[in-house]
Amino acid sequence: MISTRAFQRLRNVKQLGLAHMVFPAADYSRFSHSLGVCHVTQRIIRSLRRSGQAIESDEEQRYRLAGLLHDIGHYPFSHAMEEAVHDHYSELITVDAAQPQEAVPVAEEDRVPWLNHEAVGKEVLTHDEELLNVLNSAGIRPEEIFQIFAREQPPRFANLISSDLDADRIDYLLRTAHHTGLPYGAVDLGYLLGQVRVDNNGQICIHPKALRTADHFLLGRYFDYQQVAFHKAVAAMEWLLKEVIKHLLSSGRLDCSTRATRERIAQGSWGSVDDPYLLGLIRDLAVNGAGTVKEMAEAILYRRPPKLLAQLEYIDPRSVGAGRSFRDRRRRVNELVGRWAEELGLPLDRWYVREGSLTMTKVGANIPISELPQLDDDETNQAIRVLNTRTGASERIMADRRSLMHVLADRALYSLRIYALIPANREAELNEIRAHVHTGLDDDEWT
Amino acid sequence: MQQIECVSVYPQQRYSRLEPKLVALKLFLDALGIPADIDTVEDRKRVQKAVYLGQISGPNLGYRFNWYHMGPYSPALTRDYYELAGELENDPEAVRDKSLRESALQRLRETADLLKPPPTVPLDQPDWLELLASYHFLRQISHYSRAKAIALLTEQKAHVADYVASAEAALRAARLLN
Repeated sequence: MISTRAFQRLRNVKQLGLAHMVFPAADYSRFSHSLGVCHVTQRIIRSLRRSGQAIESDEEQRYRLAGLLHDIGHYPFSHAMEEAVHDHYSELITVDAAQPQEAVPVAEEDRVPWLNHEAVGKEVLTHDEELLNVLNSAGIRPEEIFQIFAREQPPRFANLISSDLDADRIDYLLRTAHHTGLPYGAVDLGYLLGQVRVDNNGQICIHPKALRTADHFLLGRYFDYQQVAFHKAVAAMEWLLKEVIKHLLSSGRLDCSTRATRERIAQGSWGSVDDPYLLGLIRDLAVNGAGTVKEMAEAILYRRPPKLLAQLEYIDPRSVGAGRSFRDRRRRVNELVGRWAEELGLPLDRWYVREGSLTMTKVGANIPISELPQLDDDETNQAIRVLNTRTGASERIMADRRSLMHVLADRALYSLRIYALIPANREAELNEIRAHVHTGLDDDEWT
Repeated sequence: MQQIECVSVYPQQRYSRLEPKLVALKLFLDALGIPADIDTVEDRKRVQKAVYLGQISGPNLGYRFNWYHMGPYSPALTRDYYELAGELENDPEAVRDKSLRESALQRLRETADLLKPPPTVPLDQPDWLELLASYHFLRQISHYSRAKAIALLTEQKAHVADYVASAEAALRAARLLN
């Protein structure tokens, strides 16, 4: 399976996008990450078996394969590209309300205009001839695999695949720490995996002995995200990438339609759709393009990120009020950017306002934890669960008063950043531009 | 060397954070007659299942659904509807100048009737949608037999399982079940 072209392609798809522009060694591939997820999945399965779960070897093999292949459908530069593709095809189905239009029938095969990475993964598993031959030779049907990683059937071990403590996140944290040199991956993984259990409802959970280790894992992940994915330069470079990809799509130089993707997979050329392929298109744009998008392409290739002009970050409770206050500030900034663009002679397409909220757990930044006891929806059920050894049931970690998450999960880091792509011939004005922006921000918390 | 003309395809008169995918989502929900409210679990369930059902016959927005505790669920949709809710709080008329293409609207209008609980089914809309979406997913995506799907719903969704026959009939009438 690893030797197939579809899998070997992952050697040329970076896990961390453009993070290597800041952390030079952070250019590990989805190939190595996928091997890691396969391994961690195996360790979890074997830990469950040691704790008394009856898991046949062929079931273990399917879970391992699901871990190995879970990223097989990822686009180059993964998240930036998928967001750009999503926006592009959303634009295609919307029109100006005042525009007269006729109902043009849409061919059934075009009704699904694009495929997210999971759907691409399913297409690869079911139509890549080389990969299918490998599965057939092992007597495994492709649906047995993508039904696990795509959760197309109620899975036996649901949160093995998607939760705060899934194999994907575990490998991600350890591997990113190793490659960036940051210390946040120093989690006692062996102990944590050894304490994985299944509660009497079939949900994966941890023995309470590993509660501190789980807290440590979540804290490590929080700091890792803050320092790597949310790094000011990484975030800025990812914005450039998204804008350039949107241009490549709208100008027709890149086709990520469902039809085109399926054709590539059927023809065996999906293996060539990787980071170097996309960088080739970006390089062409940098040489032959014009205007802001040409500058953006050059900025990606030669590491010239947009400048951070102002930043607002604070930790606040995850409450409706805090969310509203944050959005008020963001709205004010959006209004100011329009004014600054005119005053400074920097067109709007050079500005980027990045907002974000970062929480400790996969349970989103949107639900006040005070509501948690009343909630039993799919979002909240992805949190790490802790076994109650007396009852055999489990509860979400933030509900456990022994856990640091009981306190910290109720907080989020709110972040607003204002960037601008400054033309080379105006870089000397950077300090003045920053000063101008700060004069307009009447809030002392901005830095 | 050929000069490639680069024209901004996303002209902006003011800095706007409302991404095209959120515009499409709001218009999609409007066409289905589903409010974009997400204050309660039931609100969020309604949105999740309505998008799942709308995507079956209507324009596919690209949200992929997996099986979770409450049936088909999309984590990406969750992120987007929270973002959309925030944007609408700032500007409730944020998508007033936009519309879906007529071909998409037609399909969604046809689906909108399916989303209302029949008079003979004493379920509220979120529960009705949970039943419809779950049964459809188990039959069409998980490829469960009728008996196996009903058994699972009986075990895991007792609050709606009594009305599976009505859900099946409604899905067939809407030509959403093979």
